[in-house]
Amino acid sequence: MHQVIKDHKLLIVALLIAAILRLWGLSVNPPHLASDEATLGYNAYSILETGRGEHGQFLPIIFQSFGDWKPGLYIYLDVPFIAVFGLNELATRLPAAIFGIMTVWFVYLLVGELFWGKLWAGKVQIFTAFFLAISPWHIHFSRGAWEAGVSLSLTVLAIYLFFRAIRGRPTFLIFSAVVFGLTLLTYQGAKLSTGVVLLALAILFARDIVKLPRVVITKSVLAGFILVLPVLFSFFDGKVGRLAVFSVFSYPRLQGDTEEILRLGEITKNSWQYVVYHSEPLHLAKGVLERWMNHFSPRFLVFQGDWSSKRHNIPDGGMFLFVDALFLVLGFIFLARQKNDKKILFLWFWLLLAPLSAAFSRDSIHAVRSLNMVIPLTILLGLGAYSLFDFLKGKRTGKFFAAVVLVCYIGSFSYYLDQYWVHAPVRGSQFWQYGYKQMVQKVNAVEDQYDEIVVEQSYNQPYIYFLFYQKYPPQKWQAQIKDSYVPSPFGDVGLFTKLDNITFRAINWSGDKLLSKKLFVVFDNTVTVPRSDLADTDRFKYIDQIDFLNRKIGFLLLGVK
Amino acid sequence: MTMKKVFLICILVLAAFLRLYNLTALPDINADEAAIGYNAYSILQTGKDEHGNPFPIHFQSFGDYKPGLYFYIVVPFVSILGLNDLAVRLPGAILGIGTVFLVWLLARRLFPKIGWFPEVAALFLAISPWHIHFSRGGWEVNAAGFFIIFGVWSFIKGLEEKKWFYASIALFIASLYTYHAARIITPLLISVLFWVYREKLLWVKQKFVLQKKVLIWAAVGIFLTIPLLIDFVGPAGLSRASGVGLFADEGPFWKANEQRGEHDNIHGKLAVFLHNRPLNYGIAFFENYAKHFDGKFLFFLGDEIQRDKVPRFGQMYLIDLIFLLIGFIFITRNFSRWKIIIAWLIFAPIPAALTFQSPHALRAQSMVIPLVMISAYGAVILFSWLSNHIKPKLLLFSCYLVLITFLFWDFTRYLHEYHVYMAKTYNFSSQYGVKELVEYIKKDGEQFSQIIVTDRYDQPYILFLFYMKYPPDKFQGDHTLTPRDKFGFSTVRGFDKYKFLSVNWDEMRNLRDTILVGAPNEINDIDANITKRIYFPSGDVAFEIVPL
Repeated sequence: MHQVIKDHKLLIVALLIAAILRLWGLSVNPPHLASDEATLGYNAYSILETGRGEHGQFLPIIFQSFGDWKPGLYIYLDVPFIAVFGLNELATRLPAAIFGIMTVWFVYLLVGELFWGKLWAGKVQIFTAFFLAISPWHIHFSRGAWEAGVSLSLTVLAIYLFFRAIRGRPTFLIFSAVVFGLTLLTYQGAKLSTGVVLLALAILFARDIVKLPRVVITKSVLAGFILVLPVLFSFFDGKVGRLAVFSVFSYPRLQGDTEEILRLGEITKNSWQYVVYHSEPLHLAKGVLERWMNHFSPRFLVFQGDWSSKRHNIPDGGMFLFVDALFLVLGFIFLARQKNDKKILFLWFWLLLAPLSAAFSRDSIHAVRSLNMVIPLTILLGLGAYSLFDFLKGKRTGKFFAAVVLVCYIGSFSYYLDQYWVHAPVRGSQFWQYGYKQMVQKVNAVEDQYDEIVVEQSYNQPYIYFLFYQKYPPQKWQAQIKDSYVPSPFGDVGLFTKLDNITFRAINWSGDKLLSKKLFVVFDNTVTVPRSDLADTDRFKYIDQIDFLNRKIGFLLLGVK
Repeated sequence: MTMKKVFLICILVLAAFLRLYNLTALPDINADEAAIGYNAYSILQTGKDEHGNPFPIHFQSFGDYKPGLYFYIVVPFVSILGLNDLAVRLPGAILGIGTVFLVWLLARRLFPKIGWFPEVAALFLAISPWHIHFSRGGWEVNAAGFFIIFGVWSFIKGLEEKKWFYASIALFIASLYTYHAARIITPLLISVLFWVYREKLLWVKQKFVLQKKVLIWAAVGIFLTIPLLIDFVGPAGLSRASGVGLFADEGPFWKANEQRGEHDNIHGKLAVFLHNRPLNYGIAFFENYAKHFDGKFLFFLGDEIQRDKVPRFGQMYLIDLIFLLIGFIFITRNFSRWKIIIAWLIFAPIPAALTFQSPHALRAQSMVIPLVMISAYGAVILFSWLSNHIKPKLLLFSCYLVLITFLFWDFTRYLHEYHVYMAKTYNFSSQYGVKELVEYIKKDGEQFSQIIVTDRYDQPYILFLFYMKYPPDKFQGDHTLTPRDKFGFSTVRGFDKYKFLSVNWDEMRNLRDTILVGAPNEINDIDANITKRIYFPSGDVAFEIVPL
């Protein structure tokens, strides 16, 4: 044991840093549970208490949840934490954090396999582990119940097991297949991102796989196949509304744009010019390519991050640190100079294809769907840092430049920490659905004074916060969910309309204010309540308001007497 | 005559065709080009620019002090062809065609052994959207690019033949007098050239010796730059920096304030250390710089400024994406020969990044030369890899066919977007309609004593001067420049009987003996007696003319 610690001192330091960065203040930053996190936690609670998901199915593999049919591994991983810590933010987020920490170890192992036999492999392993431990992108998706982070962790492990299998441990192939299968049970997007990895491995290493014993191959294929069967079934079952909503193919070019092309070019849809240069499939293909490129843009990687969502990275900063740009370029150069063995080719493939599922989706950029990129890019960082320090070693001014780089790096990382801990909560609180927890607590305090509580309906799924923060007994919820749930006509996320005497619906203040003995919870930015009504204390009672962390008004709690 | 020579001639003919076809009409002359033409005309007639400055180094123009060499290049064209669209644009187009030839020369000199590389590089520049765009028109940047590449080539050639070495000084200096961006790129490139060829220039038998030829080179160079430096200390330099410089944008400053505001203690050490102007402007610089390497800019949407772009098209072709990637990968394995080109690529966006509009296809146009060379390198490598690894003739042939078809499709798509859509899509990208307006007023405006023209579109006065060939000596004494606005631009509000104002119908409707030319919405009375409408190429109304 002592020997193990001695040999892996640096790795252990990296793991410790990773753990601190992923566990510190986990329940307070991100500043609030997003509804997707809350539903994972509550479903785990429901499994723990009743063995059933919130919709009442017994030990489901895919959870219906809001109607988006979430693969359920995260929920099962969460059950023991809920059992130990109770139903709260920490317990909900812990599995992601723990897998995030383990990924640092997995990537260390993977890099060792990728560059097996190279003199510099050991140093790059350490560098990569450190870079992943402090990677803003990876930290971000380890903090919070992001299924994608767990799926990534499993993917890295599975690739490592695969390489180990073809390097003398054939039976590892079965484990690899199982772990690959588990990714699909963890995260929707894994269907494509794991598919890409499997495809690259199958093409590049076909000869090595064939050399393994037949039995092992058969077992692996069977194991993997059986594991993903439920996911495949769900695919044919029509539970793909989500896919349709997010796929780029559901969003053709705007009618107006097409008309302008036709008008200005004085052509029709049948003209050869339209078919050859402007037709819909070409437009779509260009769109996909453009999205794909976006994920390699400096804007995304270094300066601005995911510009489509404020929940996916820090404000005023990218998915990587500023100084990482230098190491990325150096890493690219170092990798490009290597002789193309198959494992290096695999790394190229993975790097290029990792944003694929993001490229085929609606948003122009998406840090979650492209999360797998973080591993090949962090390996580039490791290679870049190794090549830089190797270059500086022994040079007269080497130590000086190394010190300069290190100081810049520390500065850059401090900037990130400041952005994450000071600025991100303030600027992003409403995107983490901040306020629902505080609202539920305030409603609980006064609810017995009213007949009915009307909460403004929203795709933020207010019901889940009542369940979560009231630790509402799952049996009772399962009994009424059918009456409450209104599926979406598009097969996407649906809505829940009531919970006991709480109703979730749109609020029309001018009509609703005429009712009596009701408590209204309104979103200040969608429903305007005239301030004169607040002054009318005979009819209305202003109970409280909840502000977002940037001091803008979030919710108003109003009683109608 | 070898195959390669024939191929090169074909490329040059193609380059010429792409740059000269319909040159005078697409796009219409813009205000900057009109300023070049009219000032050249003014120099020719009076030896002074439009504002009466004798033989300036920077032309005051709209208060933006344009670097002057291109104006002087236009002078002989104006004297031969007269003051018209062609005279302003032809020199630019010719220098553009010359640049294609120079890329061939440079590629041959740097990489004499790589098969068809020089020809492919010349071809790629000949059809480059980025290069064609700024060759078609009086763009100083394009002329500067010509001088820079000519300078680099003659510098390298000059290592063997002294006369070219001396020629390179003149060329590099010329680039400094032609365009602002060159003043940053050229000195940096010269230092890299000296560094790369230090063994031939600075060392004799491993010892540092200042050779006579280097001393002469440097002395002449510095001597020739002095007038520029003196002029630049004056209003010319200040105007440029304050108008478009990075600090003209207050965004990073406000960002620092917002960030500090989110700290509990806004004057705390941490808040001040992490959020301050130097840091935020530094980040803004690097962000601007990096935008020039964004795929969106290079391959999909191009510049954001309408004048500098073609709809639905990037600065390069889609297939360049593949060629560039391959090119870069192989350059890392063969870096020593590529030092100059890579340095060029690294330096080229710096001037643009120092301004607040980024990415900027115009200011960073110099990037196109290294990018095209790298792309051509990638293409040559890809094609030779295919021919070495794919044995069946038919399959090899189909691979070639796919790649070439894809490039050809994208090339024709560019021509389609440029010639069919550009003018129609971007109403305000050039001064469309003004030519027709001036003709109309020349014909029908004789008997009116006052002509009021809307100032909605850029700088109307210069286009009137240009198209009317208004006598420069008369204009020089008969106008005033307005004070500069916050972007550093001035304009002229009137000369002779012409006034350029924003049209206020309610105030101006009672004027007499006047022609009023308004933009749509400026003349908003249904009873107004609009005698003529002038349209943008898109069919939208540009001008409405009301005689009062």
